[in-house]
Amino acid sequence: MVPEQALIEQLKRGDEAAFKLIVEQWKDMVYNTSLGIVQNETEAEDITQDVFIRVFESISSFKGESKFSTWLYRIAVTKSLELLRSKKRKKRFAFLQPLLGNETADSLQPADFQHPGVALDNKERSVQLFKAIDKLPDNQKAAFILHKLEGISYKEVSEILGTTVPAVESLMNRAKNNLRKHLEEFYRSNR
Amino acid sequence: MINKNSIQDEINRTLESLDGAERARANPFLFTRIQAKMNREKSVWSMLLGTISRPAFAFAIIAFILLANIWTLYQGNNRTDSANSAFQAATAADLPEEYNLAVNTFYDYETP
Repeated sequence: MVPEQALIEQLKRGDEAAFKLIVEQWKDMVYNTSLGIVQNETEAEDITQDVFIRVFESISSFKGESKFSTWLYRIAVTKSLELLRSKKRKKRFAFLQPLLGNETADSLQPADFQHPGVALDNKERSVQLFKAIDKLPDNQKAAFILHKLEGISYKEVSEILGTTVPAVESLMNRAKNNLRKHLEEFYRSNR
Repeated sequence: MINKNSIQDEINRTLESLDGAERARANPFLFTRIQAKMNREKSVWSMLLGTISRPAFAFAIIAFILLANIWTLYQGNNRTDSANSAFQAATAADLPEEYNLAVNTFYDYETP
């Protein structure tokens, strides 16, 4: 296996084989992160492609001050949140869609999302959890997905989000409280 | 009370539902798709740059700008000519009346 540093150096020289190795090595990590945030498989794949294209185009700007995976996570989180914001904007103007084109407001409504990696007996519960995650503010959503779905430590989450460890702890506490609130509403109304 | 406890229990179990989840796997042909996307983006730009940098395109743009300038000048001249002649005609006929240049005194009316 080629060491990470050597791969990066080869990619900086425009080596396509190195690029392929990088994609193969980190694609699941990027895809899983994007999928957790956007909760749509097609969009997560598009984001994963865009993340690696961005890596190829701007590898010269990677100075090695952080881990390569941290840089990748940062691009993936940024691109995923950008997509969610643009979807939110589209939703706001959804009433214009029938006038402007053939896309209807229904196409912007997400269906129930089932993460493919969740164990079968947890599937139903995870659907409710992802619905609640979708209602979280961007930074809480990113912290929760990185920590819970990717299993990253608070320290690395803080490096990815460009903040401190206490700030991530606070983000996680607020995320859990908000999730509890949303889930309580759901379970109370479905009793 | 029992109901409240069961809801809390349900919430806790839901919050733990992602524990031990496996990583979702990306498309096995992801690299091929990335390559295709990069080529597509490259081809759109290269097509645009290729068109712009062709000498024929540059000459066409220069010719268009020159023609537009000539047309603007021609239109401007025509407009000033017609405006001038109209103004001169109007001045000759209407100025005395317009500005009441005729000298009228009440002596004229009184003389038989």
